[in-house]
Amino acid sequence: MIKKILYYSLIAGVALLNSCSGINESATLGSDIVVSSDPTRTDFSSIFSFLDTLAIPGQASIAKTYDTVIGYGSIRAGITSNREARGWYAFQISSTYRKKHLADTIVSVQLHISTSDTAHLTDQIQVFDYYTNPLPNAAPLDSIYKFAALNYSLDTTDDSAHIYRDTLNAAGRSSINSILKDTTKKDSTTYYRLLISNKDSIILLTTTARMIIKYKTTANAFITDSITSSYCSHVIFENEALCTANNLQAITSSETGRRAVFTLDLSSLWSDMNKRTGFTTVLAATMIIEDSLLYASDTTDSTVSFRYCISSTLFTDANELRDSIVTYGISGTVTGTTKDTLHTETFLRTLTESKPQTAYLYISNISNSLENTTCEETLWRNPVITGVFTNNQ
Amino acid sequence: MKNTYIRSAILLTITSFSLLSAQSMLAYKYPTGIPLTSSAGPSLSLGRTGVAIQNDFLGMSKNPANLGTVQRSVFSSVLSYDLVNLRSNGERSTQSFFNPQLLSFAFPLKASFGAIGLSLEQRSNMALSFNTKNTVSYNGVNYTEMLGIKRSGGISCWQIGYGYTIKKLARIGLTYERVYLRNRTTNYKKVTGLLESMQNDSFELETQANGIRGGIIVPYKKFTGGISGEYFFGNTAKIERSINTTSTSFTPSEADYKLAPSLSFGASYQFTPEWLAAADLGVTLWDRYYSGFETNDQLDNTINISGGAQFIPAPTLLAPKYYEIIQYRAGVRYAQMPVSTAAEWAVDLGFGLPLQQNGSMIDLNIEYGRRTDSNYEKFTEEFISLQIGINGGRKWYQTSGTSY
Repeated sequence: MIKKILYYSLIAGVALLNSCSGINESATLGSDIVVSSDPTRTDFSSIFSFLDTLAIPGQASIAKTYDTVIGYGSIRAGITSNREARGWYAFQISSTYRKKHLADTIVSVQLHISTSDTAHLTDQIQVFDYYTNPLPNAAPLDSIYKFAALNYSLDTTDDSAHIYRDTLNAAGRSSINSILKDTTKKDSTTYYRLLISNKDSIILLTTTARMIIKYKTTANAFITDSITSSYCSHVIFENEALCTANNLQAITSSETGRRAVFTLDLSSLWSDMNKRTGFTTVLAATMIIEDSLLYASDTTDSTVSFRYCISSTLFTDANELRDSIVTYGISGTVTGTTKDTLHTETFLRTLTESKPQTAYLYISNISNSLENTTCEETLWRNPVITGVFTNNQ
Repeated sequence: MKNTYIRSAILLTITSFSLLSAQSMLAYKYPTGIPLTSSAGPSLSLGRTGVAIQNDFLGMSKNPANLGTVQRSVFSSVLSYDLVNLRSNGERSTQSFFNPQLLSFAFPLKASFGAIGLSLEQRSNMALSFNTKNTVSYNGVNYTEMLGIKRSGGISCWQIGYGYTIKKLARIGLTYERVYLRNRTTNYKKVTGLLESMQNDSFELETQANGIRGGIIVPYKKFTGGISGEYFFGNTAKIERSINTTSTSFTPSEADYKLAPSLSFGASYQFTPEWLAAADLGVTLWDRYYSGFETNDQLDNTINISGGAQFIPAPTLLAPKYYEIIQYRAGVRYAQMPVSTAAEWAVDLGFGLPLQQNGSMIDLNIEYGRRTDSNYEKFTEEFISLQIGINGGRKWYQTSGTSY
């Protein structure tokens, strides 16, 4: 009994005290005590000082010097609005290929490439075959046009399937024949690749293609095997005229890898800092910037995320920038013409030791997802940087 | 079993509400925070007196010589729930704090060789939280600037001690203690609005010190006198500074550090088996405190005075009613703070509730007090503490020599 009384008394007592206390975590009382120990501790004017708006004298964008594999996970092909997309598939010999002996004879090879992009359906696509090992991460696409293109026609026998197909006669396609002839099911490191192009609008193809191989064994048996592509990718790049025009504007693109660059005149920042004795830290610095969507290959998905960073180095190649900047800023989303807020204090603090006169703000789009990458270009305008200094006391 | 879960959940929920940081803004000026008067359950509601009280549940908490009274294995623990009410110029802010203050064990040695004790206790609390705001407009945009301080830490220690009874003349005791001091203070600056960022400037001081405590208790008829003293040896403290999460230099990063010694005198008088009265007088020598990191001119030696009385309606009855064996206690205490202009006083009221089956006892205490500093006349700190002491004891062996 006594235990119960004690127990419930304890609970009731604590609950009563809690309920009566009006507990308030924000402790604003006692400033006199703090001031008497350190008068500057509550003196806002000695701790916060707004900096003059930073001058931003230049804006441009930088493109990649060569086209790279950046569309991993999806595949596009076609030409539109001065942009060209090329994609490729890679087939790797797999367990579904049963050819045992080199003496087995390839009879025919049929390739199926399908699409669900009915909006950009064309009668034919152009397919180039090539084979190299190892698989290139950075494919100089122009150099693989050395093979003549084959036109793959849309199979009209089944309107709902949307399959481009072509049967490659073994004698007519020396490259594929030479690969498959010298290959058995054990050659799992062997690849066969196709580059896809399109003379019409950019079409989104499915991420896997199928190769159907018919061969005759030494026992005169006919066998048909199927290999599904194990890799696909694509690039989208600007033609020369568009590239030259885009270089002059702060444009970012998720697929061509174009990055916007703004020149920041930091001399005003440092002189501002020098004028205010003790204010040696950039507590906060925010850039307000307008962005608008210039182009989107897929109008159903008009959002894009972006990253940004500030460096004292001027990169002339977007690849160099990608490799040199480890830390990116916070991602945001562009949804048409709007204003974005970029927090830049983290980057500016790293420059307070070296105090460079000029720094560069880089912005880049990033893909929303690997599976459904859209090609987007964003124009960035009218940046303004405001900030506040503090001291380290 | 189900009831146990439900009760535990209720208690846990209530406790979680209590785990907000309590604070004393006045303690901003005290180098080790608010001193906590270490006490085991029976002395809580006697105004924390106990230097000259012989009670095995007190362990070493008030006087190491009390270990000489230990004839059975005992343990004591104290949990405290504190509400602190800050008042300034008609404004009020309430903080709460829940913390375990003491865990103590004492074990008798065979053949009247005395007793040894072990304890863990919290000696001071440095928690405080403060912030102030300002709204400014720049280029037509409104911003909120905020400055704040958060401090946590305090002194905790463990002790091991030995107590011995010199016939009926006196009891003596000596302890070794290892003291841990941690002070983490973060000054933060924050701006919100279009600009939004915060900077945390944190200092963390850590030190460990060795100390000794000694005491004597002399009983004479119904009167008992006692003296207890504590001394800390000098040591080195380290301080680290970081801005946000980046470590930055602080000079000096190491410095000599020495905690303040103290001395307490106590007296108690057993008027009748029903009535006991006790009083303590303590001195803390803050002029002996030293920190190489800061100037300590404002510190001053402090005294604390406490007194209390206990009443048991029928301590000697063979078949008493339960309320007749409850220990009714009341006490009052006054303590100067480490700066000469500040002090606190408090009154206590409590009960010792014996658990008859096994000689254990639960102490309940409620304390109300105020802390003021004459330099800040419009600022006061009121505190209400609800404390529970859980004490148990058992003889682990029967002395031989019993004849029938």
